Amino acid sequence: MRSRACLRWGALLLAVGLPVAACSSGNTNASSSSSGGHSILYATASEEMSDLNPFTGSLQGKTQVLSAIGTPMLYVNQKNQIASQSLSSWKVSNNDQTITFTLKPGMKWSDGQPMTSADMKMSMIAYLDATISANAGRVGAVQGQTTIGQDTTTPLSQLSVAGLTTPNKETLRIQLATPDVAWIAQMALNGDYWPILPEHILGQDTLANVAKDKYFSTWPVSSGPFTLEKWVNEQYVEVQRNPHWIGGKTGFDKVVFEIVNNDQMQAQLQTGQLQFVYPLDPTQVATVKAIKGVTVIEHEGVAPDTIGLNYAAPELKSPLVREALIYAINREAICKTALAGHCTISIPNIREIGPSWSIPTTGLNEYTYDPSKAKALLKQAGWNPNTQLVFLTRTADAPTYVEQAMTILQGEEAAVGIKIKLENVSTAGLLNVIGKKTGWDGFWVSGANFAVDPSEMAGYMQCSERYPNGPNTSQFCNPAIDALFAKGLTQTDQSQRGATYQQIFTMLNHDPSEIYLYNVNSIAAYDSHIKGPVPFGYVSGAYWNIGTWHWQN
Amino acid sequence: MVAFIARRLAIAVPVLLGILLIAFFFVHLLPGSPIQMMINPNQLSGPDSTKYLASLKSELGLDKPLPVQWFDWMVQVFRGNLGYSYQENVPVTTLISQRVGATVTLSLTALLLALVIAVPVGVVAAFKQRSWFDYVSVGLSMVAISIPVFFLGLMAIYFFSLHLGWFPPGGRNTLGVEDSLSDTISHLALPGCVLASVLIGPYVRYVRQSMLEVLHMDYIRTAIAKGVPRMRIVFKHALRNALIPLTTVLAIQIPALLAGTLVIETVFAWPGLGQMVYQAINDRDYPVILAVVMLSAALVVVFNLIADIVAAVLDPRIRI
Repeated sequence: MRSRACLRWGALLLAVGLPVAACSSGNTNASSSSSGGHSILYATASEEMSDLNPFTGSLQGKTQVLSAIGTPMLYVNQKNQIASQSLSSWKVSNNDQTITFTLKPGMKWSDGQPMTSADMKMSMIAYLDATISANAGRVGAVQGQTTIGQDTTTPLSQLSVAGLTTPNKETLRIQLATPDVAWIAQMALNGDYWPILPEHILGQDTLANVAKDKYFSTWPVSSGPFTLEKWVNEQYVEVQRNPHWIGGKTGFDKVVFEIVNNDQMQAQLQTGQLQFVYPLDPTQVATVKAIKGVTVIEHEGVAPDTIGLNYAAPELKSPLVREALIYAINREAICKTALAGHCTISIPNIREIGPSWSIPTTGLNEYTYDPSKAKALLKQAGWNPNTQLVFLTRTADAPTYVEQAMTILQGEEAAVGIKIKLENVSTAGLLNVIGKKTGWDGFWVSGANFAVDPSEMAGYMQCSERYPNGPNTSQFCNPAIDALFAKGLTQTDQSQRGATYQQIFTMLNHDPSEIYLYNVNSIAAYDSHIKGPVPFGYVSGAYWNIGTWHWQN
Repeated sequence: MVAFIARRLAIAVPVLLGILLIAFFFVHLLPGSPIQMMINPNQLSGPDSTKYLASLKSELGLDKPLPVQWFDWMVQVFRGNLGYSYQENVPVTTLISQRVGATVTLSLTALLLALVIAVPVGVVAAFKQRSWFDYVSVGLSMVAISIPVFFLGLMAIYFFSLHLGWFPPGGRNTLGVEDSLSDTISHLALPGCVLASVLIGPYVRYVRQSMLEVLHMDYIRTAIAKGVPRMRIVFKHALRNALIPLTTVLAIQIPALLAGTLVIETVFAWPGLGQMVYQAINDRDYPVILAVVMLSAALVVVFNLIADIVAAVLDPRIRI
């Protein structure tokens, strides 16, 4: 009898409790129902952030959060222009050897302390120390930079570097060791990773311990539109309004960046649990556009998906074979099929999405889909049809369309007589294989912004940057191209510089080390009540103006 | 009983050490290294990057010979220090503590729900063998066993969240606001019910089969002949013995559940241990992987011991 009664009560509780729980707080965010307005914005981080430390290697999730809580000296805006939220001006003089940064009046830290040139100087010293800073080598050398790292006992606030001076509280003067026309662009591209750091908090650290300071776990003081409130590893980051932000009052009191997969992103957007999702997979665009009350924005992507070819592989030694590989692929069809058309193609197989003055328009191979030409080139190269190439993919870590794209590519290459074996590896496994230099012929890779300055290509092409010394994972090496890249950095006249880079790209067009598959469009979707988001082409740029976003009923 | 427990715990120590030794070396044999996972190759540049990578390797102790790394790690483990996550740069215990609550909540909820449903259904199905109830319950349990859990999860999200709007599609609670019980329950409902449905199928079959065997035993036949009420026969005499096999199954399943249910966690964005260890494997985050291996192994040992004790309590014929 007693057990029967217990069963009845248990069933009753379940029957009543679940729907009550569902009705009470189910799908709408508590912030909207309880406060009468939307004070909390729920957005996605494009991937997990392993840390919020600007000294370590960066993942995009981290750069997105840093853009909400920090302020770099320079960054790249949605129009691929160099911009700043902290500087009133940045001037280049003395034959591109002197750069002067001037802070905006009224720049403050979240604790009310004024931001000064001492903050900028200390930040630069720490970021330029290659022994602690992963991105140090990405900007050209500052005078005295080679001495950074030698003194690991003097507090940062007392360290001096010949090329970094502060004539007054608003100005940082940077003297380069050699003229470098691209230095400003490189600095701006590093803006994703290099927020200005507070000297009054970190100034007593030394170069030996600053990168490990607990500050970077909690960011108690920062200068962006928001400050870090809570960070739960691999789950979400919560930031709240910075009362001393230079831009004034933010539109939202709080922003929560969540890390969710694509299916959950779409479902949570539909139920209102998330209000801004990025990046949206191209194959989801049609479904998401059909959701009532959701706006989708799209921008041409600047980061290409490529197949990096192993320049050191004997079977790919002949440029004719590498050209044949490109002619054999119908890249427009891949774009249409795998990415539902949400992409652009670089027909001449060069970084077409870039400063137009650096891109050649004549003397190029136009790599339109031409399997007959591919076969002719292979015949000319004496290609052995029994040769099997190994292409490495990372379908577990990559977006879903990559697998489809690679499968299409494999079929099209087979049609002209090139056998490709697709090997699925993890990211760690990929780097392991690439480090061995043999046993692979190509790998899928994505990323990097080449639209600001063509010198950004140098890291992926120069002999000295061959992996593991640098990001030249294709092991490409052409001393003539290296010399041209070096020349391009010293030419101040844009037309002369343009001619140099056009020469480089023409050479790369005829001796390809990569297959440019497509540039995926940068797609975001958000609740239509949100005002402020602008289309952008680069992942890290999603939240640069998040301080100005607001909810409009 | 005390001697039995002490014996089992004494054996558990070398077993755990052996598991950790094997796990340590196998994890280090995986291709790729944690250093490669920490650094985006696009950001490497110049010979200084080699210096940076070398200093990072030295800092993490990965430049030492493997046996030395093993020894250093074991010393720290015996001191109660499970190390730092290479990727997250926080103590492994912090990472686990951030996630273990979610996993325990989900697993226990699903388990309790499954038992509350499966045990009575299995008992009734056995009691009313060959009735419509028996056929329906066996059929449904087969369906529950056959349907892939990710499919069930996606269907649940589609119907109950997107279509009906009853429950949120994912997450553990509404972020950015104070936790509330109703909010937690509403987030737990779908993943809990989906996970429970996966467990219910096999449990119903175990209980039914076990119950049928017990109900055909001589002592039950004697009790019926003596006129003992049927309900009393089932719940006082038969059920206790019928549940013994189920306790063994639970002893194996609970540690697996507590180590994380990756598919459910992925489908519902539930921040549990399964997702954490999957990411750690991808990142070659050795300390995290080994900590979870240790946790899982310890849970298996403990729950097997509990299962033996419970079995002895349920059946006095079992001597320990």
